[in-house]
Amino acid sequence: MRPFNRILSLLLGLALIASGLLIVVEVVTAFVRDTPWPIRVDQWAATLRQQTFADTVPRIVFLATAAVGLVLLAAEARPWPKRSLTLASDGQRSWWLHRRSAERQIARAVRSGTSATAAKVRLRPRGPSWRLRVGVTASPEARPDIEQRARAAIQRLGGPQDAPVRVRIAKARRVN
Amino acid sequence: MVDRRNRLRWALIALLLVAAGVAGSLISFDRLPRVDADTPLLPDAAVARWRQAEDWRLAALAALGLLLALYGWRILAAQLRRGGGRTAMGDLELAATNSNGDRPGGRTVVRSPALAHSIEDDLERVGGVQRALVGLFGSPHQPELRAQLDVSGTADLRRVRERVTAALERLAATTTVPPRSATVTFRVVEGHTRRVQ
Repeated sequence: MRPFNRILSLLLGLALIASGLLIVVEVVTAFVRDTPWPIRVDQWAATLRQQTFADTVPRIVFLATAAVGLVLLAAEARPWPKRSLTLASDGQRSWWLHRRSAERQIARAVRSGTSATAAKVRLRPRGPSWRLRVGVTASPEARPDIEQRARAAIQRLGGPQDAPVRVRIAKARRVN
Repeated sequence: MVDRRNRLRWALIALLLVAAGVAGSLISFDRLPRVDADTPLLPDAAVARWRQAEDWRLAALAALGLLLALYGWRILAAQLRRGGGRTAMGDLELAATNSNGDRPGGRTVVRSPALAHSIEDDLERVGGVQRALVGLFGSPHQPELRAQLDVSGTADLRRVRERVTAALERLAATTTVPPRSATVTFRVVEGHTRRVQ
């Protein structure tokens, strides 16, 4: 969502610059030549005067506006996962770990040291500690190995040793 | 900082869109008292007011346009600036001193990008660190240091942290400008640890 917001804000910035300058040009040309330029405001004003709220096009535009607003509001209001997790902090220095890269590293560690063929890792802060969820495709017997590999990876990343690890196993489908 | 502002800005814009969309839809379906669904989108009164607008009102509108463009520029610049909207550190100026502690005149200027690059070089020499990106912000004599370090997946981050701490302390000793605060973010990348030099 953060990159999306940045791109959206870039576009908003450009739109505001363009529309702000357009207003200035329109006002100046309307004052000097008595005809606004480059957009004939009087022409689209005439169209808006003919259209009523009950017409189909304005109705669709209003409904679409409300829908877009609702979707955007939901996207902005829902909690976003933190980009980084705290490793340590002593007031003057603080150490962070990029969450996505840590998830990828734990997934690699699980895949490389066990019989798991696919691993999806979700790492989230939980108070001062972390919470780890690992979804893997493997045989149920591999569970202790997977847990142990995940814990070892957390330790190597400098994470809390008491971080709860939950492993969810999906059985690999037999190929006929 | 920029991300937080963007989030707030877009949440407000979303609220405005919802309000406008809902209000328009209610009028459109004739569910809003006092406003008829057959009302034109642009009332004649507004057009008449525009036609009779005095010069000062037009000037005010032009000024509003300029303010709008300026605000757009601020938003644009904030997105493109590195460091999440923080003020980049200026050049570091050090007064010359001789062995007696006197100040004979003259000064040494250390460009802030040069200082940041030298810290990056130093951090990239730390075993396990593959790439360092350093930003210096705020006062040159008490800068805020932010670093992103790409570390090898095979490295032990606790040991890397100890070595980075040592590198930061070396920096404080050699430049005589200890950072007011240092924020270091590790990003784990695939690959092997480089040999410690």
